[in-house]
Amino acid sequence: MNNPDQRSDGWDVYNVPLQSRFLIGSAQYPSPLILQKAVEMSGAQVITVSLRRQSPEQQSGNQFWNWLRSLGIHILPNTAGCHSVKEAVALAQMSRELFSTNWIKLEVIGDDYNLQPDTVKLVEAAEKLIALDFNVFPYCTDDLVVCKTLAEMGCEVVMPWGSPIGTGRGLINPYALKTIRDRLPGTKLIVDAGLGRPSDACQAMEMGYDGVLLNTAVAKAVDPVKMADSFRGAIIAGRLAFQAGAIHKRQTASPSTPTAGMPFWHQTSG
Amino acid sequence: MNITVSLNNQVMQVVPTATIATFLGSCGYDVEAASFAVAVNSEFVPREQYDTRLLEDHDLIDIVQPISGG
Repeated sequence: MNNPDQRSDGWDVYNVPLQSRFLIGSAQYPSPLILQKAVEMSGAQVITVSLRRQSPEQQSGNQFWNWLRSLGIHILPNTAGCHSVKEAVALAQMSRELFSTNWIKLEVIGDDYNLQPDTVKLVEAAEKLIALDFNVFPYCTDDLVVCKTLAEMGCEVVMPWGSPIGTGRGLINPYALKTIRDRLPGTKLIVDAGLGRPSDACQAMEMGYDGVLLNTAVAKAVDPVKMADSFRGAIIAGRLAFQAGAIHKRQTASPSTPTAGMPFWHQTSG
Repeated sequence: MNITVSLNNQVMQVVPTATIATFLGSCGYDVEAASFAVAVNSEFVPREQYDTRLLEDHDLIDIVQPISGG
């Protein structure tokens, strides 16, 4: 079991209490050992996984599953690569049977160039999965109305993108993300995908997002373990900043050091 | 007369009385271990049906196992 930082306040997702607000992906690491160390360093209590075809000779699926179970953290299977509602629903059901969880990170891709979610199919798939008693974590764009629709239909969690998967471009539309946060105060909001730097995660958390889900930014860093640590700190810093309440920007300067009693100033006699 | 099915995009001949369990067993999958999940024609097939669900001609079978994901 990972050791999340106690400075972060706890929250819960679909009635599962969590201390960490960092959800981490398990793909693209240079080695299984680095993956394990990065996950431990992240303090994450939720890890994303997937399903793919495998032949009976390949035992890597079993090994991976055994390793996942040994972590003692929550598994969030995804429907990555699905382009239709039917595929996404079937893969979600297969995931539930294998991973013994109702949680599903719902992805329905609508464009292969930027892996943009097909929001129409996403909503339809979410509706079907909710009817099948899934706890849906929909990966969507930063469209307020789509996020609102997903929340109203029963998604306790909604996960708008920061930017397209794997681009590392950070929050390309902070206005839209902030608007979603303001308009859906009762929904658990997680920024998912596109983050590149810890400051991107911190920015999302400062806005009041409840968590951050990322993979590539850690896995493809020069030192993934150190980067996991950095994101961990950034997410906590952002959360604390949101709770603390940042000052508003001003147009003019305002001295922070008291001006009263300033030496060398003398009223000249006219 | 055998029927033709596709297993993970590989075309195969199967006896018409094959269930999912007997077919996958003959292909080398450890059905008892339950370390994979099955879909036929892009629809999920629960584990409880492996022993009773008969394969049909032109069935498209997918077997998946856990992998890393983001």
